[in-house]
Amino acid sequence: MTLQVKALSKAINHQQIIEDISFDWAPGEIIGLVGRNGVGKTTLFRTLTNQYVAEQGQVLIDGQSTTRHPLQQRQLFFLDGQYNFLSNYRLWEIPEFFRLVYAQFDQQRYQDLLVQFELDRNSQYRRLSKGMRALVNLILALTSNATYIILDEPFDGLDVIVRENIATMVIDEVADQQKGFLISSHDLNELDGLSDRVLLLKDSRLVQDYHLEEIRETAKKLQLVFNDKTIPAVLKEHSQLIRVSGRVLVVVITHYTPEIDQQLRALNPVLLEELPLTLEDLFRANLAHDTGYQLMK
Amino acid sequence: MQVNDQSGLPYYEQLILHVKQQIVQGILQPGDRLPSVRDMARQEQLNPNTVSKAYKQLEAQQVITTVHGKGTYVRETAVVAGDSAQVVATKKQLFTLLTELRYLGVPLDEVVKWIKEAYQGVEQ
Amino acid sequence: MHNQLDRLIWRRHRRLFLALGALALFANVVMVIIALSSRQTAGAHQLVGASIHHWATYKGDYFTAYSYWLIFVYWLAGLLLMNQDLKDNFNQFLFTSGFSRQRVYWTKLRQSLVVLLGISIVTIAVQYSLYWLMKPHGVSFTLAWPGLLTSWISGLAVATGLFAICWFAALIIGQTGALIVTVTGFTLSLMSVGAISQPILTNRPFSLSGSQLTWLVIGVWLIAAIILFVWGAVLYQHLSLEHNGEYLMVPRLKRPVYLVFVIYVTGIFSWGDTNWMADVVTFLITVIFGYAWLWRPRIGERLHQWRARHDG
Repeated sequence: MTLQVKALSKAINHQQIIEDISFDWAPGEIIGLVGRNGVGKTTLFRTLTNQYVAEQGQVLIDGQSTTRHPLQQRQLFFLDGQYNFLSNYRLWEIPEFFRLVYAQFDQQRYQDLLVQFELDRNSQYRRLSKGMRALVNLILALTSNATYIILDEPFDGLDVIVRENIATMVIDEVADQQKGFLISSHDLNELDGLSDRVLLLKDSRLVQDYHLEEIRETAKKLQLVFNDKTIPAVLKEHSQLIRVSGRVLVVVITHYTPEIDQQLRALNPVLLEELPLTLEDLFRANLAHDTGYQLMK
Repeated sequence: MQVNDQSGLPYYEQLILHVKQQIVQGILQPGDRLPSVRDMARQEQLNPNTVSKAYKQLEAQQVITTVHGKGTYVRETAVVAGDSAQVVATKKQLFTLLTELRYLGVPLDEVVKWIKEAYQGVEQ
Repeated sequence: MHNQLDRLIWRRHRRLFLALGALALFANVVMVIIALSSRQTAGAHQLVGASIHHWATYKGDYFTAYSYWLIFVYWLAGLLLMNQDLKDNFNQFLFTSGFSRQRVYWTKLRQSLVVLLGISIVTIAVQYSLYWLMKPHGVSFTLAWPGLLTSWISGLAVATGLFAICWFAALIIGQTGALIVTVTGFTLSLMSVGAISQPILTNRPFSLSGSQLTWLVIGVWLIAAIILFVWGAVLYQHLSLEHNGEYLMVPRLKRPVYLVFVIYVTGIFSWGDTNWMADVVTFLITVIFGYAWLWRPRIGERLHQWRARHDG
């Protein structure tokens, strides 16, 4: 059972926000969605769930399009952080709606989680702090027991302990391969350990689909200094620049082969040092505006 | 263990190394039970698939064994010394690293000292 | 499955239904009390005039067969039932709920009309009972089927028609304030339409009798309601929520709405007017205002969308 996104596109006010988005998603996978602010992550989520009607493309769950078979939408859970109807309701009332839509909604667990996180069931949703609301959203996501769960910035505004609790809960859900998560976050540290894959959204397209453990095997982050100021061809062709300070270049090479290694050494660098590679580096390598060697005029 | 990015290794490899290290140091004895994939994932705040991959490799390398329905255990027999193919491959890796060290100008005595430290279980 | 959706919509709107019912009842009770006391002052011996025996909508001093408050409640319901789900973002939940849009639309509509009908029945029952119970000795309260039936049917037709107008408007208009203004303005303008068309229809060349006119009006209201409901269903299917906060939720209606606005408003204001200068001015105002409103996004709408896009 997989979820397939095929060529999804959405324009708003004649501006293409997302274009030709395709990826597959299987239960048991935690996918991170990463991109600059305002690039369209939330638009993607809203289009995936048919709140925005896509111009092109479709979402297939078990081979069935969610627009033509609306019932399949129940396997996909997304609660918009900004535009949800929960504001006027009290926490104990909310399940009354969700259990009418999600057949496997776990009401007992919902109540238990409220207690665990010290949330008063009589509180009105809109009177909760931002962090608490994010927590309630997450609890709803988990207790809905939908197979594919989208979390939009779930760690935002939450303290370290709660974040760890959330990460643990996500890990738990995924451990028996019954559910999958798609998490957008600016907290790259958190996503680094948690995600199997990371999708990079840039300029309305999905520019990368990294399988993180693979990348960690084949990629290297290097700190280099060369004698002359020209950028070697091997670097221009195979690497992405993260930072430059003076003569020091910090680059990411996603497929580091012995040939590349030879070529680099053959240039007799003043300095060639390997640095640990993080998700943040991949982010910078792909998404910084000044990516590329224009910096090195 | 805090899986970190201080080494350039994939997390599953770091996990494998960590388990082996614990065995070498005697923290994990033959017959000891390892945390389940889920528990290990929670502990290390890692994706369960990563942990699962590490456990699979450890099992393939005959370091651990899974008893269905009961758990994952460190193998009774000390296998590490036996598997010759693995020893050969690791030796090859060692030689590559040693070449590197020579290139970097590290004296032999220094390297021997390091080897002794590793075998005495001194944590880096 | 039908059951789930019904329960969901009921759970969502039950407070609103209750409030509307309470409003209708309360207003009617007050109205009865006022009517009775004014009759007392006037010293009349009949609450209901003789025209109740005719097949016509009853109009009398002390008794309304189908209260205007009921019509108002229908009007209000049309606005609120559609607009609230937009404003409170319940639409997001409905659209991702796995129920097809069509099913959601028609279930919501069906439930609303059934509940409103129920409110009408209860209110009328209470109202009439009150008249009967509270009338002083010696005062007659005689009803007759012709007048009653016609009044009920006429009242329901108007009410349903107004409900449909508000329902449809609330579907396509994404701004609450502007919605209220638009709908109120339009509803009031309908009185002008009534005033304009009555002489045309009762005189040559149509020459309709009073009774024929009544039934024509009933027919028009009902047909209009049906058209709006069906059209609404089509639009609902394709509603895309990125237009929340815009005046028109359905961008391709912009030109038709503009056209209708200019023609309708100019027409209403200048009918029978001999001062053509004022007509031209009206025309120009509608042209300019309509364009500015529909095509130059207002600050509010811009802010709304900027915020929406800025957050991801």
